[in-house]
Amino acid sequence: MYQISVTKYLMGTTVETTARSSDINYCKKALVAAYEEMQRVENLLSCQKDSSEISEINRAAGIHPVKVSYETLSILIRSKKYSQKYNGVFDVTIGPLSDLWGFSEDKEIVLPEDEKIKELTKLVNYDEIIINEKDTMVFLKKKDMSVDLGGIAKGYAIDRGSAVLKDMGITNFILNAGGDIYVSGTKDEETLWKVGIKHPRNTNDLIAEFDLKDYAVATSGDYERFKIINGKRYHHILDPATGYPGTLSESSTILAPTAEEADATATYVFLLGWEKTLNDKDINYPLLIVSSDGSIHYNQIFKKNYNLEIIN
Amino acid sequence: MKRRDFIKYSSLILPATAAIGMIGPFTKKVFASEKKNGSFSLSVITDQPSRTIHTIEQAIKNSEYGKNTLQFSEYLLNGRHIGDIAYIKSQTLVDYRKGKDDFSLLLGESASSLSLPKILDNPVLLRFSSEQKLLEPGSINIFRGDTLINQFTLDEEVEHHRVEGLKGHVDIRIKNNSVKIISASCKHKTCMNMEAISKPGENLVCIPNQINVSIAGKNSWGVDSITF
Repeated sequence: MYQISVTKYLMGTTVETTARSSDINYCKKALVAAYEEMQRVENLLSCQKDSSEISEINRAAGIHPVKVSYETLSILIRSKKYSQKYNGVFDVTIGPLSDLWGFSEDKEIVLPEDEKIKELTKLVNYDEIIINEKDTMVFLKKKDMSVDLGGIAKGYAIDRGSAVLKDMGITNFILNAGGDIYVSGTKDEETLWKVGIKHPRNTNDLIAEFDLKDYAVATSGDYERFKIINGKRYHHILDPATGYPGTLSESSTILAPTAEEADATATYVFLLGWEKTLNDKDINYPLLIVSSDGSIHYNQIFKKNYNLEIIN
Repeated sequence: MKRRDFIKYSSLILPATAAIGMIGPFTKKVFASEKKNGSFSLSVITDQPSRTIHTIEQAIKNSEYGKNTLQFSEYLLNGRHIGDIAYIKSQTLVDYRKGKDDFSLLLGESASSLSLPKILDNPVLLRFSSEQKLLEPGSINIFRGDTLINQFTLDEEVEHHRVEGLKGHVDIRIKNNSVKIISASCKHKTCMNMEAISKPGENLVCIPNQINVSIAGKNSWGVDSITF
């Protein structure tokens, strides 16, 4: 039996997979197919790629509806559902603000003007994504509105890549795309895969570790893409209500059945902060939040069922 | 190839050169990589990865290592290398050509069916190992995309080394047993925000340039993956 490890650059991050198989050449074929599937999803959904369907929808904002694939339509429907469930704290129409701050692009980060932020915040409203399911058409109501699936597409791509591996008979693997992970099966007959959570301030250390099987985990953190300006940290997780980076958390880690759901929920929980999250009865997932004062908060379901150990 | 480059690359090709009797100063580094008694690693530099994998799998299956879970990894190498098999058992480089044990004999058959050793341009390095993570622990491996383009050791002092990437470059510094990205040609500078790395399993990544500077060896956190 072999553990086969592969790393590739995709979706603006490194995607690492370790899979267990007795046949290296066959496992490599399955991994190539999984990476091709994730690349296909990126090409379809990335707002950084001019040729993607999402970019086409954004270009036609306020002008005309765009015919899209059923897959793009479906993820936009699900995005709206997450936005409704999370009261707009998660909102994929965050695009104009993401562009303004520029954390997803290769440009120098400067503090935007407050007035400009306020102006663009008015363009953020998931209710103004008009979806015509019958004709698979999507229309953004206002000119200059734009969709940025950054908070969900990576998770979806991981789920698709994982599905390809499973379809090809690779059932024991760990697929990590820039910290969002799907874990399938076990490391060996007796051992579960073990996942670590990075410490948000001492990023060379872990803050906790836990066991995972047939489940996904995602973390939103303020330490991956950020810039310190006048002593204050500005990062890429933007609050749709204010247009500024969220200030209540340093990181939030969520376990969920799919990487897509973990991805979207991690953003929501990061912005909501630990106090509201732990009192929110709709959030039943195992979670760990490092608050902006550095304190660690987690729920009992995480501790009990996943062998969570706090390290630092 | 410049002498300095040759010395750096020789740490990659050493297993092969050592196996054919040219043991140089880098041997010690390779020997030091296998710390646990009973550990095993097999490095193969080849231009026929699929066929080589199949051949080595068969050899392992028929050996004492066939019952273990082994780590497998594969990297492209830049430049000219000696294609061969290096077999390291319990900290000792075993010359499979002279070895009398069953596994050495199996490797000898594999090498002759793969026409090794021979000089290869831009070959593939295949690693089979009983250790987690591959390549020599403590070595700094620099990848551009899928290709291992350079290697240093943590105890070197390098004030400034430029790594050319897909769109630009990053400059690294190796000092006090740690590596840091000190400048990058991109505007974002995300990689410069990263702390210096010093432990096996840690890495510094420049996404626009597809450069990954990683410290090899079993990751010191004892986990299989990290969410961040």
